[in-house]
Amino acid sequence: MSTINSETLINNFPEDRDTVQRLLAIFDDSQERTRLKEFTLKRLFDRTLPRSEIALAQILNYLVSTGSLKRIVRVESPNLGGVEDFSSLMEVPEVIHDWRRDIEMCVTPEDINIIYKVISDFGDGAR
Amino acid sequence: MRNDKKSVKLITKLLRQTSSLSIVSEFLKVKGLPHSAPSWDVMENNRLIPAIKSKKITIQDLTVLLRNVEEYGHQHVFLYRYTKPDIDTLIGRERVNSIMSECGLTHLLATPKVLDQPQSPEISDIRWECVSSEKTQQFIIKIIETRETSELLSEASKGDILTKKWRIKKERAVNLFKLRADGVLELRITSQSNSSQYKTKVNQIWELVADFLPKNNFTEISLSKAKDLLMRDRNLLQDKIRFSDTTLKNDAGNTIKAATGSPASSLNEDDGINSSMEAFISHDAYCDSHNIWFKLSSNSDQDKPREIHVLLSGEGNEFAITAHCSSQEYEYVYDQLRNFNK
Repeated sequence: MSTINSETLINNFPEDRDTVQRLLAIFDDSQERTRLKEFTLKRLFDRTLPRSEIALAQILNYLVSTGSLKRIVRVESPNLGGVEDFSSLMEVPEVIHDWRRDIEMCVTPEDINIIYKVISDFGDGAR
Repeated sequence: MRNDKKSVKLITKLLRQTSSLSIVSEFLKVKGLPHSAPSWDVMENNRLIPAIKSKKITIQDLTVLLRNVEEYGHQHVFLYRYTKPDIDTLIGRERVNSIMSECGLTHLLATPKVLDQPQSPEISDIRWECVSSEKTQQFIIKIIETRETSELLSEASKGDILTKKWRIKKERAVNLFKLRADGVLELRITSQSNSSQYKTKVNQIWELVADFLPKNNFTEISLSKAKDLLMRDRNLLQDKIRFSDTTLKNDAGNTIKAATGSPASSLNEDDGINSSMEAFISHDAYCDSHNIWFKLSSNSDQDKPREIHVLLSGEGNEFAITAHCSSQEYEYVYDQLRNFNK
């Protein structure tokens, strides 16, 4: 597991220094408190208070490109809970078996959530 | 041979829908026959038809194989108990043969009917099976039906008129009654692709066998004890079972639903979820449904560990095994649930 260098990240996004620090703190904290380490874009936006969604998305894209985060396209059941994970939107089929209800479901944009999963060690980010 | 070839083609078509190449390959391998096939066409033309021609296997063997693969899993199962003391008479050959004769079904005694998509639901098999370990018999009636669902092909709007074009898709469904010697009846209904409601379907299917199994003489077996035990002992069971979602209710009608975000994770891994469910249970809540995976050990180091997905939701006497499985896997899940429900 690699460790994210917070300085490198801040140097790449100098205008978003505070957002980067808050983001790294969240990822670091998540590793200490839970094994799940998955975040929706909305949740990260609420907690990092970025200047804009685009600014946050650029940081997350960078972390995905370096292999520190994994982006998951998750189809969710209207009954709650994930049904299947995909690595891109292109892979999502029009119809999927919702095993949580044992029924075929037509996938709509409302059923899709983008999830960021922590892969690397963010240990130095919060300190 | 022409009829045999036609039968092989029909059985292969049905095997394609309900099984896998590896299952058919294993069936041939056990019989010491050439068994590898990269596709269903090769399996049919190069393996099954030559094996029939050379009398190494019979149509009856293939029918039994089809029976074994299509009768287990991808089903919602409803449990009932026979309430009268005369189960031996109920499933006795004399009584059953007499009803079969009245209904014009005596031809099924010799061999089950291989049906693809009948016009209306049709009984295809009536049989008794010996359970050698218990020296008892169980009684089985199988019904094949054709279901129709619709698939949206296109939609176009012109002015304020929206026109949608649908294609009707036909699907074969296998439904089964199995009455065990202990008086427990399983009604297994093939999963519906477009609805999670089965009450109407249960009544429709039962009408077809009412002469054999009068519904008034059966009572539903509630699975509430199994649901409560799964909730109570979930930590003890975590090597056996993975929990994907759980619904708790109380008598005020209030509900808590816990569901994993990731399809592959387990509720047991989340202390916060466990604490909140414990707190609700301690205020007289009960478990209304579970969505669980039975963990099965693999046969060899090369095989991946397998999980059988089971829903305990819907009607009180209902559970579902959502994917096709082997008869052994089905019986394992059935036995576990019956034990949890004691």
